[in-house]
Amino acid sequence: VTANPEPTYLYAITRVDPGGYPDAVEAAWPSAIDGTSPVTLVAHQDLAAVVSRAPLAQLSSLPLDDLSETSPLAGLARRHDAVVRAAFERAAVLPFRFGTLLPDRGAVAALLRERSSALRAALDRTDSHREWGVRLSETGSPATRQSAPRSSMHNQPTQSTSGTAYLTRRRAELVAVRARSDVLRQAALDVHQAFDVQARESTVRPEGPRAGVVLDACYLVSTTKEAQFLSTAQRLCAEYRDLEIRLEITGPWPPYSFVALAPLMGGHD
Amino acid sequence: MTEPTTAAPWGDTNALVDLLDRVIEKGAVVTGDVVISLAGVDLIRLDLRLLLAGVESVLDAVTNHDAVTNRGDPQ
Repeated sequence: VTANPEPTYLYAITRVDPGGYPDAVEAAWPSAIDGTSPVTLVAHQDLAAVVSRAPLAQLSSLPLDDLSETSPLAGLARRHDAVVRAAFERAAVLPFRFGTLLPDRGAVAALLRERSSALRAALDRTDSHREWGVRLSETGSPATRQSAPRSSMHNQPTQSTSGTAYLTRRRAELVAVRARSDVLRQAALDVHQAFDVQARESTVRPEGPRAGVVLDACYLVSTTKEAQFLSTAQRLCAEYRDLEIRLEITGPWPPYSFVALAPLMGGHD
Repeated sequence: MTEPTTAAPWGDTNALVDLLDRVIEKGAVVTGDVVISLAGVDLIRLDLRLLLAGVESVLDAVTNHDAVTNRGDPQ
């Protein structure tokens, strides 16, 4: 066993029926992240890790300047996701982050054994739930967007006679911008509230550099509440369209954003 | 569990940016450094750090592009 340890790539942890493992479960996996290797399971009691041979060469030479749809990274990420989703169609999963490796299958088994209670608790938490992404962004009103008070130094009047007119116009613009940003802030609060009450958990991405995005959130929704969740989405989508605010929904996703586990092996480094 | 037919007719569920956002930035990690060393060699830890930076800049590029497109202001 130790003679030829094979670096192992991890997709997810899932539950298996100890009696039914492994043949039935292994029959219909998509191809592994390298496109050729089989996807297999490493099991411990009712827990299993979904793994394959690690594509070390592909990962270590991954070009980072190409993130287009046809890039190597896109291909690897999509295959990673396909395996996670295949597991997720059968049972609850805890997805691993892209690029997670262990030295060999023995280390995977040890991980399952040593962290079994934390893993079971995390699987219970997300069982029968799926993740939905919600993004609220500004679509319209180019005039108000363009007149945001950035670098007003560059907007100085060229003639002193236009000074009063300039100040009047500028003041009106600032009022409009402020009113618009109030509308957007309130929309983000209202939309989050409407979805949050239907979700078991939610995560809201802090306001980042993504232009025009006023809410970027994920919701962990019970499969029994999805119809209601989506009907709320449909209603809000129509409501906010009139305000030139776009509501986008993505999903369903495996609970990528709700794993919430401390690193599974402490103290490395 | 099968895909609901009502899923997001108004959104792009397949967007690469949303996928990368999840599989690279989220998910369980084995160690705080995402990847442990193999035989004492950190095989891809550095690359993944670069990868994260790369993804963030792509997020910026994609959304700024969208914003520009939406404004109809090719700048």
